[in-house]
Amino acid sequence: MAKITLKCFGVFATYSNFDKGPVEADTLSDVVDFLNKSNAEKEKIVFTKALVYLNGEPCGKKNKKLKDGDEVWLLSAFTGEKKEKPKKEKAVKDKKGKVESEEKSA
Amino acid sequence: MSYKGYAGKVLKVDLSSKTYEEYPWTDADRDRTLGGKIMAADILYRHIKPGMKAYDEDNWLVVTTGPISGCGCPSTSRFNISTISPLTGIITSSNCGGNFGLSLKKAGYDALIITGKSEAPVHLDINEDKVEFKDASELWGLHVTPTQDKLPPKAGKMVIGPAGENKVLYACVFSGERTAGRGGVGAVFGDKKLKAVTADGRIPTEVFDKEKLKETNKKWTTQLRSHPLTGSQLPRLGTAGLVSPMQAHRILATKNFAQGRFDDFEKISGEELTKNHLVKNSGCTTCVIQCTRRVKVDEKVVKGPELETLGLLGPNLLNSDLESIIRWNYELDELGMDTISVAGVLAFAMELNEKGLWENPLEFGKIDNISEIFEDIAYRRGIGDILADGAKRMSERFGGKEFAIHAKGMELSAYEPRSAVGQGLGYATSNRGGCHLNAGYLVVLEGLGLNIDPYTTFGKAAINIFFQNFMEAISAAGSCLFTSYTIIPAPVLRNPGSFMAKVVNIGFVALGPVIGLLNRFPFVANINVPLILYPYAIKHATGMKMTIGKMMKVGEYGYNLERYCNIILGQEAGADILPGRLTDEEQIPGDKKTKVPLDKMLKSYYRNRGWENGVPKKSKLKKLGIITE
Repeated sequence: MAKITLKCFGVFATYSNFDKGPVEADTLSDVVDFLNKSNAEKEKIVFTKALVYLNGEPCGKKNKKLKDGDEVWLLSAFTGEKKEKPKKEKAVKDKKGKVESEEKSA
Repeated sequence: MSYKGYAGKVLKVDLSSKTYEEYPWTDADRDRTLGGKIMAADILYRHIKPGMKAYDEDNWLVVTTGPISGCGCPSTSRFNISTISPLTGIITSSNCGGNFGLSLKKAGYDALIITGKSEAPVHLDINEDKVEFKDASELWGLHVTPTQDKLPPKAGKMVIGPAGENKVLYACVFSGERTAGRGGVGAVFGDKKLKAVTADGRIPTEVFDKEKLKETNKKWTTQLRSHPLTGSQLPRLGTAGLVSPMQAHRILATKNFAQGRFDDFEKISGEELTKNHLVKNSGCTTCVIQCTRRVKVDEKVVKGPELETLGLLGPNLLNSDLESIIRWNYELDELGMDTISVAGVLAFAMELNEKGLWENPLEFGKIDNISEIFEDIAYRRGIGDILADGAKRMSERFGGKEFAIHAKGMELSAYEPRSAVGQGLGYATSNRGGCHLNAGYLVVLEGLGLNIDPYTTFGKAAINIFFQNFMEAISAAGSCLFTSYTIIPAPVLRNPGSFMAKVVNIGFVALGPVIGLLNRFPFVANINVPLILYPYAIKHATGMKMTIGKMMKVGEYGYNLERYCNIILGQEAGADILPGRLTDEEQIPGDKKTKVPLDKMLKSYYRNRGWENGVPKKSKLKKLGIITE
């Protein structure tokens, strides 16, 4: 496994559990897998949803082999993730006509 | 007036005689210009004469609103100030998201024309019933916030700070926390001794079809909130979120535009600002995007820096201290100066010093004397008096023209164009000078949203013209230009590495010639599509027939009209240039494609525009109805 530095920018950085630091990975695809494991409770990061840079140059090949000392940037290049719509409570009547609350996606 | 949406009147005041009257404006004028900056250009065109200068008594300040402002449409509080710029000598049109425009409409006016000069500091107060010229001697000398604090709290306001009073050539006008920042409109206010303008009223704006407009506004709000740029990136990170992608794409102006990347960019990034300094976000009145950052300076919650300020007072000065930039942004706001031009001037002065062309106390990376320099500029003291005149005049005095980073005399914004050549073309051809928005903002396609090839010249001229024209019309309607981001398909933005994104990026450029045809024959686009809601909003607000094609035509009229006004004011052929650093020096030494091939792109641009060396041909002007002979 190569010892690399990973830096996340954009909403990846502000809304994930990992923004920068050392990572061990063989390929760029491994880097994405690492991030998804770090952000288990959040929305999954997909390779195509980011702009990936390797040592300052754009690299779209997820199977690109990494070597010790490489620096990987993951940018959500002025995009932003799709926001989960807030769940609204909707008042409904139960069988007896009593009002109850029910979660409903907005 | 048969159109709705408009207030229906234009107010003209004379500060010399302290009188006012109505300026005639017809439905035909509304149809031709929509409003906003195009209306202002039209009014100025009827008035200006060759040889007129910014500080002439007869230089008019024209403040205009758009027809969909005040109609419940999202992100449409914008108003515009146009005048002869003291910085460039040509027309500047400066846009602002403050609440003055909405208040002016409620007072019964779509526009305000300010003529003459006052002998003593004056506060112009406008309401439904009367216009008053009040003594402003107690306001004169105050910073921006204390000035606004002394004015009626519910009124819409426009004020200047000390920089405007002392006619710093890039002084701005403030309305609330928002700025009409570029081109020195604040200096023209100062020259007229106009310290403040307030407007207040209760006149409601009547619309053409209330129900249909309400439906359109609801769709538009949903569209803005669900789009990745306007609904996620901008609210979460603000424009500051652009620092990182700019770094990645080598378009982060560094060391007076000598480079496109800054090693310490993370320290001044939007992510850092959000993580460690953001109190909350906020926005202009009526805005659903809310891109403004609010931060703390001396325990006070104030407006935070935008991208331009971060980039130009950061990497461009080799400064990686975010706290200093946050403070400087606040200081410049209080003094009433354009952060873009100030930063450009400082960077130029630093390089002049470094190269031994002008000995001064400014050095790249040195930040302990900057606040003092700001004060010197605002009050025109010592070297501040030199810096207050802008980079172009400094280069005429000290040399270094090849690295005085301006276009037509106005300093460039933070995008280094040698890795976004379409943006470079835009900077050169922008009517008001080094403005990224008036340029067509192609950098959004060249790496900050889409990823079209940033170095190719193919199609760039046509794409530039399309966006320049269309954004002109969007602005004229009263809308924030950020609303135009929704034209970029969301799925492509969410998956920039996907096959679909690659196809779009290649296809966009390949379609350049088709876009060129569309520019020439906008009637082909006399349609409406659900993705682009402006025509629906304009139609339902005003009753005016509106399509995408008509908006393109109005925008084309406006762009050409402003250009022709500049020609009347003395702009010569061949004025669409960039400094030598950007056209002759490779950003990456040895990589020939990393400079702006301006001459090549200009040929195509002028051909598409119907111009000759930057001057609209007579046939073009006749076709647009700007001249008759």
